[in-house]
Amino acid sequence: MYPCQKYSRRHLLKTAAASAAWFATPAAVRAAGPAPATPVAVAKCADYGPELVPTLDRMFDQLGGLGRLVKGKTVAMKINLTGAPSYRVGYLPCEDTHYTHPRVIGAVCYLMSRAGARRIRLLESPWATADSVEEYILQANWEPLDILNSAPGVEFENTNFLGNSKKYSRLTVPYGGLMFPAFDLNHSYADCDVFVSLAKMKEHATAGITLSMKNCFGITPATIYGTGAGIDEPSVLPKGGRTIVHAGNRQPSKSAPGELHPDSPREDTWRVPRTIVDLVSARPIDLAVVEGIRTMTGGEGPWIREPLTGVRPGILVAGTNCVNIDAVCMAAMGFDPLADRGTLPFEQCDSTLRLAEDVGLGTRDLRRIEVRGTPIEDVVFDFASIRRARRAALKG
Amino acid sequence: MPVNWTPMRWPAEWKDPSAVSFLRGTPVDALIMDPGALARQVERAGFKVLRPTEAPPGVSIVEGVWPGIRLTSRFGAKDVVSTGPTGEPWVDSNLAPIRLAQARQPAGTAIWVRATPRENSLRAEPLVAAAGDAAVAGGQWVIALPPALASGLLARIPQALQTWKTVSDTAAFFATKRDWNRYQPEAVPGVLSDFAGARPLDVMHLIARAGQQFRVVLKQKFTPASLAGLKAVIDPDPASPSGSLRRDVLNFVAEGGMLIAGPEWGEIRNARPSATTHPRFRLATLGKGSVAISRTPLGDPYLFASDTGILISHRHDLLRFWNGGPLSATYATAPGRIKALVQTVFYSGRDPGGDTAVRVAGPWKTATLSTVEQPAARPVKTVPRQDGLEIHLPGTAGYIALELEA
Repeated sequence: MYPCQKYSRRHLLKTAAASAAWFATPAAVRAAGPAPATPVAVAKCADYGPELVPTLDRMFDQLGGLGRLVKGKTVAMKINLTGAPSYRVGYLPCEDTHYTHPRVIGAVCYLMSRAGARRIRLLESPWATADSVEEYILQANWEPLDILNSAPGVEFENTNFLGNSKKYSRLTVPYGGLMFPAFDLNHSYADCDVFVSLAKMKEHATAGITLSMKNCFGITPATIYGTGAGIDEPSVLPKGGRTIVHAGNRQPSKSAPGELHPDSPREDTWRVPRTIVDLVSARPIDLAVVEGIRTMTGGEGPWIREPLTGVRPGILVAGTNCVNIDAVCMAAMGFDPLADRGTLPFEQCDSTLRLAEDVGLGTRDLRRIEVRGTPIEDVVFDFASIRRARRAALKG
Repeated sequence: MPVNWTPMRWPAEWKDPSAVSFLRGTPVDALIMDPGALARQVERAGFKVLRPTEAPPGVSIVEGVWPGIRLTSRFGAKDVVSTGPTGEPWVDSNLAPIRLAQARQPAGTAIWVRATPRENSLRAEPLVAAAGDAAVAGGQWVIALPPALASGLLARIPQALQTWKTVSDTAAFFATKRDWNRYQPEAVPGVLSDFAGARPLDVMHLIARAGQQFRVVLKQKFTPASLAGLKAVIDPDPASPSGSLRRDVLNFVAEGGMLIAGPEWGEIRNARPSATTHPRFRLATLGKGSVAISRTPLGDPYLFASDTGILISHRHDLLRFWNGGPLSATYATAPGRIKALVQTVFYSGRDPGGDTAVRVAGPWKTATLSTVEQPAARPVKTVPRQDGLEIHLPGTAGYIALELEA
């Protein structure tokens, strides 16, 4: 669990002044041309009932069909199961607030299988454990068979450690990296033809929002990047959260590439967005689905020390460019995707979208993104106003 | 009958027999104190007096630990929460020793737990937790007041008087619930051991901490019926059983059970390697069941206990808590399984957040809740779940009891 850090204005100014050079994207990695723009499908979906599969099916059709992407392929799908399954927001099940809903996972598996996917591997790095994902989700009251039986060839792998391989796979950041030049990851992120981010639509204490890109923060194994990571070699078992990335209190296991700039800021609000951009560059997202049918306001999980509320925005967003899709999601949440550090919802952190756009991953400019399906204005669920009201109440 | 007594250790601070006035109107009827004039005066006041070393007939005494979150001094700070291998708070509990004592003693023996308060304060919460920690396992805490509380009562400090009322209400609550001891504990694994060393007790403690409902299976008293209703047998002993015990355990496996044990079990005839692999266990099938034999001699009890939970699978969890914080919980059923009892003690010593929920496996349709503060059972919100009932607990104190009906 990550503590929700609060910084004073003085602290932020001091930090910014001391490391001003670090806050801009280095020219060396800045993209030369305009960032890509691809269509994004948007739909309203009131609940996880019978309308879910046809809605997703229609969205994938609006993107050109799943078949061209997954037919005959091995698909790796990163789902979001953040935090221990024994923690809930109030009495609400994890899937109604901060976990990707199992019915969405099952529906996407089914549609991918129907479109010809050969193998569908569901990946997550569950909190502080090397146990199977199946055992993990049982503790959330899920039935793994509901997902495994949604289509042929569906399987889980826990990617928080070495897993079912003899060695970690090194994935390199094409532009050299903002934080890390490469990552050592569980083999599943390399041993796939198509990589999908199946995320939950939420705010995030450290990164402002968590959508398709932030979901991929969890692809890093805690055995190398976590609290109990080995110094020279990865630890056998994962322990705790990814403090090495958050706090920069030490380097990853020496067997993995270290930070490019160990003298850079140690603030998680600086480090996490950059690491996310490096991660989704090293392991590009081929397809993203962001699920906001039921979710929460106030943060990314029950441990966040702000008033947390389960909400039902009834939104589904899908696309093939992670920056484009996150920009559309932000707009659907009532936020401005062009917002930068100091502006809602990035009051205290850098915008992952801005950093991703700067390195050329995709545009966050809605004028350049074609929205297919339901117009954004018809699906907006105003997280932004709720956030303003919540923060005003906290100050009051 | 001593099994129905409510025992208390006479505080050293109480030098005058007039202090029995605090005990009038409470269920405390047996006082543990050194022999002497004071003891004789207390006895004349109508109380049973027991020597500190004396266990009355029908009673077995467990020298327990003070239950709760373990605090240590580290990094120059006092009262730092001590943690286990995963960073979760380390909790001391008497649940496993009580269960072991129950297994060793004849049925119907009362298990008294002697534990000295760790904190010398006027707070009631640790004392309720001590009583609850014993009660969830079917034991009874021998009331022991910290010196500050014993002195505070003599000085009639309001907080001390209030705390004493809470302690005596707690004792009264449990005194009216003695028939709960007739309920049979439900269990998923049995811990098969002669309990000659410390390891099996450690393993049991850690299994309980992981939320697993277990049964003590004493090798000395073993019969095939000892394994009835279990899903698995865990053998943490350094020596494997032989003869009929080994045969009976393997029969249990062949009928669909699971054996988790160290390499001392050696070759198991007719066992066939499983397609599933595990980094620390050799997995095999035997008849309708399965065997998990550690690849190396059993080492870290924490890792072993954690592995057992996964090898057996959370699919078989009888209780599953959310937002509970550090707790101990037990699950027992009335004869015929028409009713169930779930008792929980929360070691955080306060309302864990007011949004704790528990899923109880079984055919239960309704649930009522009682606490020390509100002893009358009252309905509580439930949500039907597959193969169980989820119960939303209101903000509670340190101990709750849920009674469920099919």
